[in-house]
Amino acid sequence: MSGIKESVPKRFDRVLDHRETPDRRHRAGPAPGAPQVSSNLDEGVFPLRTVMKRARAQASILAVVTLVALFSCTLLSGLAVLATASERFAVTEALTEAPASSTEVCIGLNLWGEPLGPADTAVRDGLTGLFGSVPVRTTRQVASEVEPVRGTNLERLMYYGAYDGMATQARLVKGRWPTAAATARAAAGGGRIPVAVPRQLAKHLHLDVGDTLTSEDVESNEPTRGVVVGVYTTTPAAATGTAGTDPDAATQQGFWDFDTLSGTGHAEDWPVPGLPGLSADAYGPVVVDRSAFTELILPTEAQTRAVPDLARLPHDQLGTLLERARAAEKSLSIELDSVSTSPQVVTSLGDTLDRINRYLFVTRSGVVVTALLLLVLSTAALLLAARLLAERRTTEQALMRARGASGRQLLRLAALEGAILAVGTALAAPPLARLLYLVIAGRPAFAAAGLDHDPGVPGVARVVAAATSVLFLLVLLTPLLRRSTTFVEHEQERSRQDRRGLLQRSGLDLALVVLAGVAYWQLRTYHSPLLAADGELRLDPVLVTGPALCLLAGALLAMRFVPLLSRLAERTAARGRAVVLPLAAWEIGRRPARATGAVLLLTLALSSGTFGLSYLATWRASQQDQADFTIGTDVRIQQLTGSALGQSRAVSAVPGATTVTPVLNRTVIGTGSVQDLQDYYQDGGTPVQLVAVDADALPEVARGRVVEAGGESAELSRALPKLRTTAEDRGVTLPGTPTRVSARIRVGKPPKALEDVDVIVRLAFEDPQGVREVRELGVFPADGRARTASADLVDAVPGNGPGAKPRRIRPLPGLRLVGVQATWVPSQQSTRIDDTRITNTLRIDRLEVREGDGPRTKVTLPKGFRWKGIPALFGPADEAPPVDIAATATTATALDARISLPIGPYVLQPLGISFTTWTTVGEVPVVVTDSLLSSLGVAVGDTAALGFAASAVPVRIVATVPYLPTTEPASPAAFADHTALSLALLERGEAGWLVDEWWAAVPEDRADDYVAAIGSGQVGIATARLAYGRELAEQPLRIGIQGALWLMVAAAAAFAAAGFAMHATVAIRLRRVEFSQLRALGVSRRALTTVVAAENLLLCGLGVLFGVALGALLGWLVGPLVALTAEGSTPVPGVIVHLPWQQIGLLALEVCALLAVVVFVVTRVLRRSVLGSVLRLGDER
Amino acid sequence: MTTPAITRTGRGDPAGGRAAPPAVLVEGVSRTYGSGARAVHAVRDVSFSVAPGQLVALVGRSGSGKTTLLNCIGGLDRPDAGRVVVSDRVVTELSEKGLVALRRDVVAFVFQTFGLVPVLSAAENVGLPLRLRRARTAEREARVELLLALVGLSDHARQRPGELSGGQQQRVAIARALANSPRLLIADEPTGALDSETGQSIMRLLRAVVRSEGMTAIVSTHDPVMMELADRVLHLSDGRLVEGHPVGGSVTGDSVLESPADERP
Repeated sequence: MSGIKESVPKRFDRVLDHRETPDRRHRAGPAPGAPQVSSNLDEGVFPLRTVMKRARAQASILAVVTLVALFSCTLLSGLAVLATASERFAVTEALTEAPASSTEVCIGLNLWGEPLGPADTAVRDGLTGLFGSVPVRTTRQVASEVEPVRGTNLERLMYYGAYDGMATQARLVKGRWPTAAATARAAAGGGRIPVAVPRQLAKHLHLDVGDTLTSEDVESNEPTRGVVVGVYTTTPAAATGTAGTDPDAATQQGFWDFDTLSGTGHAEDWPVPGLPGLSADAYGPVVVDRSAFTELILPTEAQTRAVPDLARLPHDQLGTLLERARAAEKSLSIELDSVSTSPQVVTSLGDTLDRINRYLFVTRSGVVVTALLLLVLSTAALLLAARLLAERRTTEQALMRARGASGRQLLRLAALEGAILAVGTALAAPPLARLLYLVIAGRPAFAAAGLDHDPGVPGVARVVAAATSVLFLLVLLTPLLRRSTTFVEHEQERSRQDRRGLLQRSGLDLALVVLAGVAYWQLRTYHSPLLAADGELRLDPVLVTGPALCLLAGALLAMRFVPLLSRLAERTAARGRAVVLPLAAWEIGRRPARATGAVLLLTLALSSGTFGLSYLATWRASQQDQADFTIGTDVRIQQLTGSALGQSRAVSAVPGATTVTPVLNRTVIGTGSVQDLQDYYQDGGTPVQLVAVDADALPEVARGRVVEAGGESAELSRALPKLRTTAEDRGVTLPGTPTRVSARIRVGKPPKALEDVDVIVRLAFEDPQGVREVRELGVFPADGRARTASADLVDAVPGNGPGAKPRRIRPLPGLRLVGVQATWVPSQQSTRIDDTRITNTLRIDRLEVREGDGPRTKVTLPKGFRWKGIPALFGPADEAPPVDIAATATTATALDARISLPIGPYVLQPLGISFTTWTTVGEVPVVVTDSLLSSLGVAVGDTAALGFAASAVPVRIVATVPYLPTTEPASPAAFADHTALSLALLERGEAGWLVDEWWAAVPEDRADDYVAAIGSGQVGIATARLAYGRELAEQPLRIGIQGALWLMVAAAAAFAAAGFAMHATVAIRLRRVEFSQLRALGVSRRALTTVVAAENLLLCGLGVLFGVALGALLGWLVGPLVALTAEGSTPVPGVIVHLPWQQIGLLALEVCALLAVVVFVVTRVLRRSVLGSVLRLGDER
Repeated sequence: MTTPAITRTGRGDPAGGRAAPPAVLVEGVSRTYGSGARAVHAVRDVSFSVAPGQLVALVGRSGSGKTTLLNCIGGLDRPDAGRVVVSDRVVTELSEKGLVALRRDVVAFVFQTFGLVPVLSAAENVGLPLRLRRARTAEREARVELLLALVGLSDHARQRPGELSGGQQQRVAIARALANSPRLLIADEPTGALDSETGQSIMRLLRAVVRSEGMTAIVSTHDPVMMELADRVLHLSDGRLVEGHPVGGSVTGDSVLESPADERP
């Protein structure tokens, strides 16, 4: 020991004055008058000078440690910037993109002659109270009561109106719009009120500019005189849809909804309010300036539509506005009650803001989960850095203690140094975090979401930076807080380290495993890190820390294997004759703390990275699955205009789709049986979302994730074929592309005419795409007289753009007549009350079609053509009244039917007969959800009934599944074949449309173009499942999760690199003397490089093995629990875990690349190190 | 304790007889650190030779260039000028590979700071050079046992350096140096980190093993005992060889191999 004591002064002097140049070392002897440690460390600037000198001497390792700290700090601050900035920008973007209809407040006031001024003031105050400083664009509309035009004897009615923005919705044909100034002059002088009249009114009353228009009050007959200053015609907007950000455009949506005549300007036979049975020609609005309503005209009703410019809503006021908006309808109604009778306030603003808030919350939970994982990773990196620094200074610290420095003094010295580094880190990190955000925000998805703005440095980023720096400081000081040891104890500890770390020895790692288990169990129980209470979401600390706890516990548990594996490697290698592998194995096995630290960091980094990649892939796939589930097909086309036959032609005309399929998708009423359905109005029924898709599209439905969730897919895949109907040719094909069909109809045969019965005759058509539609030929008295009637087959839909002519769309060629529906209805004069049976005939001949203005072409039925007569009864067959039907067809007569039916109670309701040309469907096979099954109280194989507008069909349940595509998850829903259902409905006399939307199979790369083509052709609103999936994943309010995950994966890769490089370089630096001694023994540089490579290969191998396995396990266990829907619920279909092995492989490859770098560095260090110099320094490191 | 018998063959008679080539030949060796005004001339034009079997003590004040000279002789450093020949190998002209072979097979070092690998036991440290030679496991184990017995540490074979006293560590270092039976042993202030009593014990051990193994040794030291034990003392001052003369006296093995138990742990 005396030798050691002698060496102390010399070594310690070098610590205090650590200039390692060879010349200095040569001259350095024992420093005369070396400072007394214990006293000098307390003196003035000496500690600072000591810290600075030591920092200079150990610049490289301090730089590495500081860089790791700065990186951690920047990363966590960056996450804070990401969370706050993306939230802020996302909210603004979401509010900006929200349709005006979802944010507007619509206030309707019944004034009934009350003055307009106070009402305006009350509305303005109410809106100011709601929106505060947010700019609001209002559109006010006020109208008078309908009153007669003087001198028209109640045959012509009119009303006054003052609508904001009228000039944009109507076009002046002549003159000008009334102005406030002219109105004021009229009011002051008792003159005529300037008015602008609809073109029709001007035409019918021969009014011109300058003429007088006088109306009179219905009760008082007081006249109101106006002077025509303008004549206008309306140009209602051609289409609705979202208004986007333009408040002007926004307020114009539904502009004419308020108007009594919906902007038509004129209506014939308009039922006069309050006078049943009386109708008149109505005109309006007769436009006046709003000021006219203050004195000259009495307002009846007023409406204000307020669209807030929420893009300018300060971020911090979202919560306040949300609170106000939730109560807006009620509070505004109360406020306006004093100026109006039963004021109506309608707004979706509260729901919209609520939804945005929930989205934010869910995104925030994802970011917090990620942030906690990163915190674990950062802390591990900092701990490794601190441990390596402490190890580097172990000897120095021990010597200083030996020279009399107290633990407190050493702590103070370290605290001073740590504080300098921490302050620097805290100051540097926030600006770097801002740059980090800008890098992330530069990604296309962020730019597309409108988040690529400079967020500056939010305060929270500074707070996080400061907190992380404090953590860094504490971590740096931790090694000094350990029990102080003597120099000898320290040397002995260095020689023989405990293979188990402090956590393992204390069992804390196992305690953490238990805690993680509890957190995971909780997560599994709640299926989300969010808890919903009273409709509000809140983050649960245990649930949200679950993933991080699992990660940490798993990594620490894995570390228990390190000593075992290293011992095994050590024993194996020691038996051999060579030196390389034993040296590597000894290093790892006997310096377990150093090895474990590196493996732990690698494990945490790789598991975080693997989990991040898995979570990202799983989350994105889940969003796409949800989109697939919601859309149901490649492209879904909704809100089509026109009839089904026209839709079929319009949809077919758009290129790009492989197939297009008509779909019935609506809510119907479900009951356990048809009889129950009859009692529906008394007993109620179950609303059922019914989706009927053509059999040809069933494979498309059965394809993809829509039906693969959690094993349900197999059931749906198996069930769908059961829905198919037998293919058959139905009816007769009409020649060419007919635009009109005509026929001669005769009901009854003289002299057996039924004077009190009319028969509605409809023809059922089917086009080549399977679209079936009924067109009415007319209502025919059963008087035995033959009448010719026709039906238009052409569809008229609005033209493209305002004022454009309507488009006429023909049906597709190959149209077939497949059925005839005849409904016997009592005429208004019917007084029959007795129960008698009648016989009636229906004859349809001279069936002809015409194409445009071309000649009529006779439709000839083929030989052997047969009709099948089916009573379209609203009830089970055994309870149906006995109806005898005999129907024949010849080439000359399309239909000749004889019906014997009871007339009596049944005459009080229509009785329909369907003449069909197909195999009677009877019961329609359906696949239903479990929810519907339980609601109806039936089982698979049972029959039930679905009620439509005018008919009901019995259905047979062939299978049950948890949920069905395009329907609300867990709601009662049914899937049917469109052909079977529509034929069954035709059998049952259903005359309504049988198509609600279209599904198109479109190649993925052409889906966006197809959607655009559907939109530009004004066919309807198309949504592509891929685009919708992208929207779900990349909408402004959700992109934050992805940003955080990208950051985590990048950080994991960086931490793996930084941590491993730090470990390797510092370890090499610490072992420089050892390496030199080994080289002095004759170990070649190559052998030493191989030793280091072997050591690091082993560490890398363990880190990669543990990291990837743990990350994959975490992704598998936790991923599905934290991948939520936008609103925080469990996704449907269920989440399927994705492990992107290619990207995970790249992450592992990065570690291998690091290994190469380490080998390179070692080679350089060994090449550059001068053996003599290093050995001269001996143990002084 | 009994002195283990170590026999060597083919090394000739160190005492004389037919004039054998010198074990070490140093000719005009100079080594300067830095350049210009900051240049430090650690060794200046030093020339001497050492006959096989001699134990030479290299003495001088701290900073006189002893370590630099020893490093140049052992191939741990390259002189700026001059030539070093060790056992017919021109060290100054050897490639890196040759230097590795030289250090592995011909020269062995004992450092003031012992130079033991801290995580290895005494036996494993001693066995390292044998592993470098890829000696068979049985041969290695036997040799390690023998050498540890030679330095009196048979009972400490499984202890690691941190669990040994300074003297014991230096004994392990000496045993490791002897493992591959080097022709030249270079010891740089082997007692510098030890108290005088332990230092003397180490010096005697060195002297004994040099004699018994028939190797040549150059030992830098401040220790007068070592100077007394040396066949020859070379004085270095400011990098120059001031004086060189043989020193009489001999040391018996018994007196050298005193029990390590006498050393304070």
